[in-house]
Amino acid sequence: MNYTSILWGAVGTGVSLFAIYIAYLVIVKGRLRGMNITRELYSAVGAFTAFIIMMSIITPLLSHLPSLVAPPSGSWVLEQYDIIASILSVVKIVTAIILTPEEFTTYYSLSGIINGIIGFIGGLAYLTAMTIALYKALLALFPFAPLFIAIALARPNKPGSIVLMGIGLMALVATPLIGWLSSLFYKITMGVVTALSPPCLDIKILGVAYFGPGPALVTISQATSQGVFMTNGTRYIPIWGCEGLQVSQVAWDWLVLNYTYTRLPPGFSIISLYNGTLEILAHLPFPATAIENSSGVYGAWFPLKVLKYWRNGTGYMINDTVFYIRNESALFWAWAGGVKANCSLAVNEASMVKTTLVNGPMVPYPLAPLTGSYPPGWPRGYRQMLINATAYNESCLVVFEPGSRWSGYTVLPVTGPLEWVLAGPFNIVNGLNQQWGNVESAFTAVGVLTVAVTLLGILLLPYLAVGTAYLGAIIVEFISPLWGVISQLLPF
Amino acid sequence: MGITSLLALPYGIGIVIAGVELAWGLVKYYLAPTPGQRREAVEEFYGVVIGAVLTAVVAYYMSIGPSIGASIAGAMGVSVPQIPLQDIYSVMYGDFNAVMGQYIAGQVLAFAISAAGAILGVTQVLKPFSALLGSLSGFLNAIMAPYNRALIATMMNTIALAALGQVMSTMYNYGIGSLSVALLLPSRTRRIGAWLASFILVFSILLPMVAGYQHVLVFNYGNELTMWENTLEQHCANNPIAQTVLNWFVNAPTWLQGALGLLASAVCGIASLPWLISNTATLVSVGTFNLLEGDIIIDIVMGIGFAITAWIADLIEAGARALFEVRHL
Repeated sequence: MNYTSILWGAVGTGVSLFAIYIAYLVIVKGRLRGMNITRELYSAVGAFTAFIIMMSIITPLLSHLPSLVAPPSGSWVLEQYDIIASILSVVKIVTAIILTPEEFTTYYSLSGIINGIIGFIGGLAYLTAMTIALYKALLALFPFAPLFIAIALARPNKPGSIVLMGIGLMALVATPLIGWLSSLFYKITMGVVTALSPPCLDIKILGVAYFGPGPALVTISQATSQGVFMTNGTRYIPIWGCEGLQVSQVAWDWLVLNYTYTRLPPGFSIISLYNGTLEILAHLPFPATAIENSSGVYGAWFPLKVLKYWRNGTGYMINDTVFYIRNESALFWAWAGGVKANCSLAVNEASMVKTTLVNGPMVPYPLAPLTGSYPPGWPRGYRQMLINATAYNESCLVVFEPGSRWSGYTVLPVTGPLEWVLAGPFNIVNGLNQQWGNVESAFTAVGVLTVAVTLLGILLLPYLAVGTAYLGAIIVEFISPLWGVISQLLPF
Repeated sequence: MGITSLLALPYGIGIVIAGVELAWGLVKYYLAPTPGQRREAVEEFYGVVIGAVLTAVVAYYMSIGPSIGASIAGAMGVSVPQIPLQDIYSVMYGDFNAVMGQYIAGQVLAFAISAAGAILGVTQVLKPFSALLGSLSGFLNAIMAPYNRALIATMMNTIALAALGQVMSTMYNYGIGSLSVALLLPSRTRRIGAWLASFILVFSILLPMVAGYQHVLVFNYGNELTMWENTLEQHCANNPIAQTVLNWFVNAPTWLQGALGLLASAVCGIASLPWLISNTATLVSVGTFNLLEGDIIIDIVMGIGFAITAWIADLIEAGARALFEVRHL
């Protein structure tokens, strides 16, 4: 859309309007009715001159400015809002399904977070849509702006004229500004929406059946996310329905377990949210004994080989930290803080089982309590050992000392959609950060616009009428003597 | 139009007032005691004749205002129905009811689901169901939030237009349009006459045009909630489980059947989530934006209408002074 072509039409209309009005004043009121038209004529001529001067300045200036931007799509903004709000709400529904009644404090907290995100996005989307709608309305008004200014100037110092002048000037000045502002808001919303946008619209609930030492920390991978959760047997996790799923690691007591997994399809489901079962079978390379009490796991050990070198050799487990041998030599694998015995021991560091560091989910710090508890990031005081204990003609107790505590209970499995929700505040900040220049410009523009409108309203408009009257008086007083001279020269 | 129908309201008042004006002009002429005053009366009589013609014409002008408004809107590329001035109130009232109905239905639906959830939530065991219903209510609130805001803005516009419609209808029925021109003749009532005449001149065209536009907006985008529910019910019409559940309650009261039907549809919709979300987003967003844009356009146009009324009132007053003021010779 080009400023100049639009404006010229309105300029022509304004000139015609003034010509008719001045002709009416001079011919009908002045000549035919013989009324005193001096003040009215001053005002009209002044207004006409001001109008011509203003248009002469504005028209060439505007032709150098960029064309008015095409309005961005407001319905797209609202559509994106609806999509994100829907997905967030469905995550709430899914959370309500997978949590137990005892865990509902977490649900209420999560619900509050989701409502906050929806509120923020909703506010931004509504503001953007309103600005775009306003811009579209102003665009329709824009070509008529000079006309409003013209008819306001024709009869200055009247209440209607002041309002029309305000509307005309606002349309002329504010339309490009609001257009620019709407595109800024659109970019900001687009930035935030892009940062927040979910991988797809399909959320599923997956049942997990875990068979192996527990509690295990299971890491799963989908195309756009990597989630973790702890399990001791069965639980439900939310996943993105449009992406495949792999189990990428199963850890127990910082030990990486060997595992196999199978996706079993859902047998019968009332709602197709349920996506079947993920069956995980995990184990150490050998059937280890866990050093365990009610507060957690503290290591594991396993007698790899018991060599009965001597007669009446015997060896057996007394409890989950003590092994008894007599007249035997036994080779142990252990993942423990240390080992003690009252017989000869040969201890070597080993790395038969791979260990891992534990990373909890990446969620903003205030949200961490929602996700439950995770084991410490790395094992403290642990050694992986190969131990050779020999007891000839003596009774020997081999005692495995505990390492640091392995325990955890994840209330919310931070997988797929839940991971996406919990990263939401981060993503919003990231999205805004990337659009920070636009955010600053938008705020500045709103501030400048407010100040300009206030100043225009309070200071400028009341003086405009006086100004045009003086201008008219100068021009008329200049023309009148000239007209006197010319009329003397005319023969009629 | 027959001659006798001209005497019916509102034309009748215009013609009667015009007749009185002419009669008054004649009376002044014949009662003038001096030739100078008689000349004055003649000069005044010309003005009175023009005033009488204008007075009679204004009633007709008000009656054709809606068609002029519709033509102007058509020229600007917007197709609006012609709403007679005396019908604007009822049309806007109908639109307000339709929009308010949608708003209340949405709120009641969300509240009912949430309340049912809250009742279930009293028991520890049923807390998941309570949260499920709470989330469902949140879902409805979230997706309909911009639409609800647009509905409120539309409601405010329909109320304002209905109020103006009521005023214009009264003015039309009681011939205030004609009276306003008559009021321009005496200098004491000229100012109020000018304001009335200006208001009638502008809003006889503008109000039906804007009300027609508002009506089109409400007709096209004012029932998104119902459309959304219908789409959902249509989509889930063949869902065997939903149908089985509904069949259990075939003898239940209608409102319960309706509520259960909607709940079953919502559950069925969530079962086909991608469809539900994309369908909802497309359906609700386009209508909401168009409704919002229309509301803003109406607000701006009405503002301009009042400014132009003030401007023209001033012009009419000056014109009337020039036309009807008697110069004492």
